[in-house]
Amino acid sequence: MILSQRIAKKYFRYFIGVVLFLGLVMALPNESLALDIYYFSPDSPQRNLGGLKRKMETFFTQVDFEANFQPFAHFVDFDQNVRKKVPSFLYLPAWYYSLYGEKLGLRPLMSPMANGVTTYQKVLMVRKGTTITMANITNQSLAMTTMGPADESTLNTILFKAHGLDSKDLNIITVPKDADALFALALGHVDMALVGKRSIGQIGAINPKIMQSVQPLAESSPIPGPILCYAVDRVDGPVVEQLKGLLQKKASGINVLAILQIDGWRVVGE
Amino acid sequence: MNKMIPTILIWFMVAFSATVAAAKPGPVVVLLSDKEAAYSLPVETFRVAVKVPIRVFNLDGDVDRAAAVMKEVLALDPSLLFTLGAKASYVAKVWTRDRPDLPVLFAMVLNWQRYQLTQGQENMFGIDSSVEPGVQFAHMLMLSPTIKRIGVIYNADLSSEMVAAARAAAKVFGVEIVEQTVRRSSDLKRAYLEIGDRIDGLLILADPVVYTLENVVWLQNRCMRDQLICVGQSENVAKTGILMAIDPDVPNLGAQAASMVRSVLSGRQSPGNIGVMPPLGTRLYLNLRTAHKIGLYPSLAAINMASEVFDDQ
Repeated sequence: MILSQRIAKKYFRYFIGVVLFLGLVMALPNESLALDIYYFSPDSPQRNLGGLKRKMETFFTQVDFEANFQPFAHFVDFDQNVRKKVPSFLYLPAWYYSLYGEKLGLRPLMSPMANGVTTYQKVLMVRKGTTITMANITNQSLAMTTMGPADESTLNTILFKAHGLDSKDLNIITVPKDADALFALALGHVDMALVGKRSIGQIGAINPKIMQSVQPLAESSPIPGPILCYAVDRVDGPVVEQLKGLLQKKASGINVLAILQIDGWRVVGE
Repeated sequence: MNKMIPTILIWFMVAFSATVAAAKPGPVVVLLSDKEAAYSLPVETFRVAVKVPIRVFNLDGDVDRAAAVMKEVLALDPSLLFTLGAKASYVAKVWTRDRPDLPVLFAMVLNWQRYQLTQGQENMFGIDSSVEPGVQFAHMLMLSPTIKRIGVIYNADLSSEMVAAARAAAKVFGVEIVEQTVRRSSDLKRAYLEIGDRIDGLLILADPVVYTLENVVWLQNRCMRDQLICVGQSENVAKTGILMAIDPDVPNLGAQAASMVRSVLSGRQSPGNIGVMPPLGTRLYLNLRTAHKIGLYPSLAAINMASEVFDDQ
């Protein structure tokens, strides 16, 4: 009786030990081995971010590259997540890279191209029949997608300085997409809209009536397009080269360029 | 004389610091109705975009806390109040009745007209919680550029302002509005049958009389049967079968609010001449299953403009 009690006690201790060990293992942070790729591109015509995530993850699965592709619609959401944990790869606006790239340990890898260039232009639009000219835009309202926390100085660099103007004299309203800015202008909620040249072409093609009510006032100088970066501390050289290769070719019958709505890539430094 | 110098100096310092304190504008106070997760991104977006110090207070859903919270808020001598939700906005209106110098910007208040938020007070301005009809038309035309006549069923007592905006927007886009009024929710079917054969699109307004679950389900089936381009509000109605829905982009309300706040604080505009703006940022929900059922095959560019697409994949 005493012997059987001892054996029972011994096995009970083993059992408790196994339970504690399993509990400890389960309590440890279960970090996925997949790489994180964050995408934030407020000027891209691709707004269907759910569809973009699905298609990009299908692409990565088919080419055996373990990655979580996470698109963001809003600057604040993107920025908060990056600061919480810098992901391995980031597809982000050039202004974000120039503001925070060095601080976050990012290195540029490739720039997407549209119409053969890595830059794009924005057009300052007004309603047809308006009296607004570049000489009297002070105090007017302007809708545009975000150009980051330093949007006023960026705007001056790309557009207003050349006309002797200061964007501080405008009421700038940030909207999530170019179409919102154009609709707000057409409907008279703002006096001006600053939208990508490419968006004007696309929106005009699918909704010609809206373009009949607006007209261009001025064009910006070329703006650097988005950049695909990697975090130096989070990803090794071979993985960087692997992703670079995968994104550049049409792999597994999936056209990744079409998914991202770009024409090609220019490798940084080449 | 020498004994007086320190006294004079102290008086000078007190007077100087009082002048500086008086010149320094108080913070912008954000007042929330309760602990809604939906408020967090607009508040963060606002914090980043407004570029002045902000302080956040919360009524925690309890209007009985209004007196204590508002005393604390007003003690800060705020330069402006940004309120989110009906309770916070109404409380701010009541507590600034005798403070025409203190602007109050409200947002995320469903049917703000019901609370008479702008009535009798020039310090109140806001952002509507419904997307403007013109934006709905623009999206309808994006999916079907040939659309000509758009039906609108509404209660005249509740939605006349919205319908007036729809008429103005229709002119911009060169479409015709076919109107039908209802008194009760149960009148909807009859109203639809009156106009159904004269329209090629239907705009379901956020009219409390029309916008009931039963009516939305009935319209969903009817629009599909009659192959109409039908647009409603909220992600759920598009998910369950209405062709598309357009909602305000909630996080972007913070950016829009920040811009309005900056223009008021800089003296460029006053709350009274801004009034209540529609939300400028939108989210488009598109149901491709419904589109295909009614014989509509939108271009890839149009599909890519949707924030969310519901299809069979």
